[in-house]
Amino acid sequence: MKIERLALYNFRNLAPTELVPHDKLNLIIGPNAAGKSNLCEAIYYAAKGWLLKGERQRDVIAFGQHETAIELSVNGDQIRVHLNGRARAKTIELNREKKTQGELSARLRTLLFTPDELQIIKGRPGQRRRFLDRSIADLSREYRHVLREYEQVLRRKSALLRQENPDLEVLEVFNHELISRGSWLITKRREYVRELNKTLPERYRAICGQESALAVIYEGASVPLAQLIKDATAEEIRRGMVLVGPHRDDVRFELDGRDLRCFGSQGEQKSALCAILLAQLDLCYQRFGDYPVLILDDVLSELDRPRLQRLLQLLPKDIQIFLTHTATDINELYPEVRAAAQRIFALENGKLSVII
Amino acid sequence: MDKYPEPLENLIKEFQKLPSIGRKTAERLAFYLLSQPPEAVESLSQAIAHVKEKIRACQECFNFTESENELCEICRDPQRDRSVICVVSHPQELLKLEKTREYRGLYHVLGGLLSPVNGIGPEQLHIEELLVRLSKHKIQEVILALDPKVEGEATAMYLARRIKPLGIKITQIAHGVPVGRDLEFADEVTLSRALAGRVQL
Repeated sequence: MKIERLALYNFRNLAPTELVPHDKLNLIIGPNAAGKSNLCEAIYYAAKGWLLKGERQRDVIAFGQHETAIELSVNGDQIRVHLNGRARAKTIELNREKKTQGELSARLRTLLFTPDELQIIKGRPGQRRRFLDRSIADLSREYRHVLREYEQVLRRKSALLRQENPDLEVLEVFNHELISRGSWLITKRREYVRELNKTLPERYRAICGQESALAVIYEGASVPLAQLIKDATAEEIRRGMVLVGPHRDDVRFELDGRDLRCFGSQGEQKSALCAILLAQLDLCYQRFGDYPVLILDDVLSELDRPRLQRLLQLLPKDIQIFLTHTATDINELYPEVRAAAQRIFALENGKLSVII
Repeated sequence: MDKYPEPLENLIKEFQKLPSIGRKTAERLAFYLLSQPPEAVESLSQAIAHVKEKIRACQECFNFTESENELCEICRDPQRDRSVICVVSHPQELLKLEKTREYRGLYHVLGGLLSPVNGIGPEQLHIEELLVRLSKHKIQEVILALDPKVEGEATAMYLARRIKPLGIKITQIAHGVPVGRDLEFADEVTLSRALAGRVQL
């Protein structure tokens, strides 16, 4: 999947921008707050229909303006996303026909990695779970849909449990709704973890050059969700809150059997992150038969030179990449990064120019 | 002057209480009325006064009916098939179904969906009344036509559990690909639901 043209109007701090990327590695450099992440976000937003940090969509409209548009040519398709802040209306067009975000999803896929992703390994359970959910949602829109429904049922169940004497029959109905979605989610998560483990160890060895085995382990209840909920119901009613379900599950990364979060060195954690990225790309390719547009926002600063070199070598040859880096001069770049970049753009105060 | 004269200000405030109407729209509506001939304004205020007075819920199915009748038009209609009841959450949905002219049975309007977040439990809905109807009359099928979302599904499930002991056939309207759309562009989610609910030809 290749973006042939990208045009932005009134998107965050970016000046009206038209960009003709190369179909391999595009490097975007600029000082802090120049708009590099905003550029990445524009592609992400057009592809997914939501924002990374869960902000309101109209926040992407440049200050003082009331509408914004993102135009993309992807593999010959013309995609246009237009957002009107006053009318709170969003229109998505594919080849000049109105479409929904779901209908667009097959025509534009992206995978985004930012330094925040290090939290996958280091962070709290919630962050690892979010990574898991997001990664699976990248492979299946249905997963995101079911996940949202699960969360909706969960909110309703907790509201019910907070009532003085919850209607037990209604509780059972909501439990049933929770179980059907929750067990589906657990199955998909375990499936994903299993798939990831097929390529993760090999990818890790290639990145760090050592014979260590990286594995991801799903941490959830060993009994079926229906049983788990049944056993917990009396206690849930007594305490007036939801106590069990896949929203409490987690994943753990292990290197040669030790927990990477507690016992991994910084270097090992970063290698693991690269391996996860590569493994996720493998899964995208298996699922869709081509690679998504890869956006690496500011990850260079997190990687040291040998790891970076290997990552650049190991990334698939026919993948389009947008790589941002905080630098004001191309001479600040590692020569191998400069050599790998087919096109270099500079971004300053929201204005984009082509350097090479 | 930082406010309009009181009668005008009152009207604006009343409009603002309506759903999806803000101050600006409320002002525009008020000014518009002010510019209209007295008969037009009178006819509007009559309509508002009468709606509350003359519209009642049907004693049988809770559809809207005019106050001189205990039963709504559908419940009174001898041509309707009295062995089937279609359950909807609101009268608006009933009207949509009626427009299809495909359905000739009776209805039952629940008056909402189970929603613990908004404090709506079974007793806030016309569920007991439905069960009474089902046990009193010879009903052969109950069709559930509720939103294919979380609350609609939960309500459908709840109803199914309560109706099952009565030994009446319960069906649910199909969910799936909208008619007239290309399959190519159908959402993954919709498609998988449609697959799960496929029918034999």
